[in-house]
This record gives sequence, C-alpha cells and structure tokens, in this order.
Amino acid sequence: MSDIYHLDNVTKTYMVGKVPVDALAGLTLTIRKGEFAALQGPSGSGKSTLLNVVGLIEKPTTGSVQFRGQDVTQANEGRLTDLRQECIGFIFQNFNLIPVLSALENVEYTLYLEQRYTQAEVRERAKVAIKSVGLERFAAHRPAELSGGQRQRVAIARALVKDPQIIIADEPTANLDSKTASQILDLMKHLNSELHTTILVATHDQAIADMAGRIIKIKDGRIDEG
Amino acid sequence: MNRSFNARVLWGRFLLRTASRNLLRSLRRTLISLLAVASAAAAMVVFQSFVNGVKETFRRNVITSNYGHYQVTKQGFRNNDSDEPFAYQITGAAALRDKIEKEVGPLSFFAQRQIFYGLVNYNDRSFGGVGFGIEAEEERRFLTLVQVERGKHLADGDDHSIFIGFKLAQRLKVNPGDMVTVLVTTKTGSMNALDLEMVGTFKTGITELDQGAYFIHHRVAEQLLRVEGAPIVMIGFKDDNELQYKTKLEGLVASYDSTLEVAHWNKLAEFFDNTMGWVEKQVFVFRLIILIIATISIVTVFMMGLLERIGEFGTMRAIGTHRHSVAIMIFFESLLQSTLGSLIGVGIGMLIVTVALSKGVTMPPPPLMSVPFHVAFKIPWANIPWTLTLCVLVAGGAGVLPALRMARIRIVEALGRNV
Repeated sequence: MSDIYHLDNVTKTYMVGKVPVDALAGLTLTIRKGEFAALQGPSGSGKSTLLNVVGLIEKPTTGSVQFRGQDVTQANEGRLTDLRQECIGFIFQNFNLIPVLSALENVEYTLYLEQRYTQAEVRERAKVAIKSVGLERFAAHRPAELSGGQRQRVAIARALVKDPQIIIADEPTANLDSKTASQILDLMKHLNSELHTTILVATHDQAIADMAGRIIKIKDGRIDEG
Repeated sequence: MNRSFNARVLWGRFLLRTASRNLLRSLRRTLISLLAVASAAAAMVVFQSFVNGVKETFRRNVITSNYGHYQVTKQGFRNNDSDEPFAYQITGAAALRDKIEKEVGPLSFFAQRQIFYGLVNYNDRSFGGVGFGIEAEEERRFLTLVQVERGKHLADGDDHSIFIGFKLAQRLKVNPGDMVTVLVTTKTGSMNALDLEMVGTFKTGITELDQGAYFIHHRVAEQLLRVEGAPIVMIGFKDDNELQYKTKLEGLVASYDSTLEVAHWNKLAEFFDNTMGWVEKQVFVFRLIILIIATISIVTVFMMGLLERIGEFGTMRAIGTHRHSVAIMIFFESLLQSTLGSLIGVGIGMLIVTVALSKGVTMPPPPLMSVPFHVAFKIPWANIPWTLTLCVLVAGGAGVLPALRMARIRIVEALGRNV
C-alpha cells in the first residue's frame, strides 16, 4: 500500500492567553492508502488537532505534511480548500448538516461545490449515495426531521459521494445509541473493505478500535509508541 | 468550457436557493431586518414626497402670488427704474396680448402693473409706501397673494378707490369708507394728489407689503402719475407648464418691440432657487441620516443572525467551500432581504402618502411670511426607481462586511461552535 499521508516532526502550538500550548509536539506519522486507522488518546492529547492537520483545516506550526506525495505544508488557503473539496470526506461528531437543506440536498451540496457535474449527474450520484446509507425514504427530509443516526448516515453519504481519498471522522458514534452506532460502524467498515476508502477515526469507542486495522495512540501531542 | 460554465451556474443557483431558505429560517429576525430596510425606504419616499410637495406648492405660490409665469419689461427697467422711474413705460399692451394669444398660447392672465412711491395721508397721519397701479379684476383671477382682510377688493370700476395693506391701515387708523389722500411725484417732477376712498385692507403674509403697500386701479395711477401704460406686463398661461412657451414668447416679444425683454418667474424670484437649494441640502443630510441608521440596524441584526450560524459556515469551509462562495451566499441573503425590504418600504411609503397624508399638512410661516402654508404631498415618480436602487444598494451593501467577516472565520473555531 502506498502512503496517502506522511507527517514529519509536526508541531502545533496555540496561544492560550499569553501562554503557548503545544497541541502537537513533534509528531511523525504515516497513513497508508486503504487503511482503517483508529486514533485513540485521552482528552487533550491532540487527537482533534491531528485530525485538523490531516484534514488540511489547520497548518502545522513546524514540520511538514505530505499528502499523496506532495508537500502541502506551505500550500495557500485556496489550494487547501480545493484539496479538502476533492479528496477528503469529513464526518463530524455533531453531524454538521446544513439545516435548510434536505438530506438529498446536503449530499448534493458536495457535488455542486465541485462544479464538475450536470444537474442530472448530481441528482443521480446523490441518490445513489443516499440509497447506499439506507435513507432513500428520507431523502426529502430536513436534518431536524431525522434521528441522530439518520443524520450521521446523511453525513456519511455526503462524505462518500465524491469518492474521497480519505474519510476523516471525529467521534462519529459519540452522540448515537449503541444500536445506531453499530450500524454506522458497519457502514464505515463496508466503505473501507468494499470501496477501499482510507479511514481515519478519532474515537473513544472500543468497538471502533476493535474493528480498525490499525490503532494510533496519541499522548501529549506525540505518537505513543508504548 | 460550456460544461464548466454550466456547473458554475448550477452552483450559483444552489447558493441562491440556500440563501433564500436561510431568510425563512428565523422569520422573526428576517422580519426585523425587513422592517429596518422598509422603514428607511418608506421614510425616504414620504420625505421626498413632502419635499416635492413643498417645491410644487412653493412654485405655484411664487407664480400666483406676485409674478405670473413671465413678465415683460423694457430693457434696463430692472436695473435703472429708480433713476428714471417713468422712462420704461410699455404702451399698447393690448396689441401685445392679442399677438401672444394668437401665436404663443392661450392666456389665463395678462395685466399691466405700475409701481410708484408716494405718501398716504389720513387726518394728521402720513406714511410713505409703495403704490401699485393694477388691473384689479384681471390680477384677482390669477394672483392669490392678496387676501381681503377688511372691506372688499378693488373692482375694475373703482376709479376713486384704494386698497391698503392692513398694517399700514392700522398705522393710519383708517377704516373702510374713509377718504385718504395719496401724494406722488409725477413724471414731470411736479406733485400731484388724489383723494381716494379706502374700500378695504389686505393681508399678504409678507410683512413688507402688509405694512407699506397699497393698490389703486391702473387707470387711476396713469392719471395720478401723468403717464401712459405701465412698466410691467405680467403674463400667465392657461397651461401651468409654462416653460414650453419660453422660446416662442421671447421670439415674439423681441420681434414685436426690440426694446422689450421677457423674464421667467424663476429669474425674478431668485430666492426660489436659493430656498430650494437649502431644502435640497437638508434632504441630503436627512437621507444620509436615514441610510446610516438603517445600515447600522441592518448590520447589527444581520450579524446577530450570522453569529448564530457560525458553526455552519465552519462546516461549509471544512468540506471544501471557498471563502468567496460563503461570502457570496451571505451577500445573496443580504441582497434578497434588502430588495424585498426596499420594495415593501417604497410601497408603504406611497401608501402613506396617498392615504394617510392625502390631505397634506399645514406648515408654519416661512421666513419673511406671516401666514402658514399648505403642502400637498406629491410622490416623486421619477425618483422612485432611484430611491429603490439606493435602498437596495445601501441595505445590500450592509451585508458585505458581515459576509467577508464570516468568510474569513477560522474553521477550527467555527466548527467548535457546532452543537
């Protein structure tokens, strides 16, 4: 398997008031294409910061980030936005759907955003994605009319509709009951095993860790080798 | 190329649709924003209608008070009449009237007017004043400045009568029916006097006239001053759009007698332009204040709504929406709101003018006047598109800053606001 990410000695320092806080402290990590990796660590260990750096939402303070073999450490905001748009699917703990759009439109949003497809193509691909998460009956429903599990499925459909290189998920089952969480996990497992989508999940959920092919432990902003 | 363009159009349409739905998501907030825009637009329409009404009322008042649409005089009269007061008499005015009616347009008013200075005496009281020799009934048909205060107006047959400003009458202690003496210097320099019966007193609202002017018939003035004709011929057309006659009238008068000249009322009443210029400046400041208040209100309300949605903008940015797309969507919302608000506001403004203010308002006397004047509101139709555009641009423009601010938010911070 080829590398999709290589992070080399990455640091990320935030200022809390006038005090610098190292969220990442010289972290080196490689993620291979097709991996299902679970990121684990206690609160404040730097999981979310690492996801933000990997998701190209934040730039590291020092160190370098290579994405698909290209150094994107110094890429400008427009280029990073393009990469997020084309290559990365996000699944958030709070689902983060756009409330005024229906389930289907939330999925369509990603496709219209790419500005590559005709209206018919957008509609067709979005329908396939919604169907793949088992929500075709709820396609016209707005997020407020859906349960937590259904919303997370819409979020998954939104992430997978563009055939991303990687799906980055931050505690995707944290706000779901165990039955729904299990369904979401099955869905993610399916994405990884059938579609070979790389998945990086930050989680406290042992079920996800058990399912992942690789567990990355993080502590104090570093990979915990122990 | 074409496919790429179509995809962009589709994305734009999608953003517009999302923006329009966002307006409906917090109806209360949208209504407050609409109210702010609509109030500003309505206030501008009402105020413009008022100013338009003032301008029109003022114009009509100036024309019908003392000037007519045009005045014909001998060249030099307006500069030199004090040096040679009787050197500018126009004779044969009746023939001029016929020519104007035949060749320029139908007249509603054509009158000669003599102006002179003389002493008015009653018993042991004498005061200097400005005398007007007028064609009484002709003037009364068109000019409205002079209002009877006591007694009656001069009539065409009143060859031995005088009509006096009410304050001058008070100073003379004279009552209708009393005989007063008018003493003047004639054309030849000799003194002449006439005993005239005071038929009434008048009120113009112009202090200078009320306390120092009097009217006698034009024929009487000719006898008193020993002159023929009058230095001023006043003209009023039946059609109030008098400017259409200007060129023709000037040409005709010049060809009739090359020593004559025509003056438009606006040239005679220079104070009109000065006053309206002053009013326009006030209007400008008032508009500016309205727009500033509206802009601040719109930005505040709009920003409050956007701050509640900051997590959503974070999500949009995270999943790959460019800053400019976020800004455009927010600007669409602002523009939709401002267009709708402006349309409603202009409609409400016109409704207020047509229904609630249809009777107009009575304004206090302006400077140098002593009587209130009535203003009928007049919708400035020609300005409505401009007002609408201005309101849309200003209110829509008020969304630019919030849109840019939201587009530049830190994605991580914004995502943290998602609950």
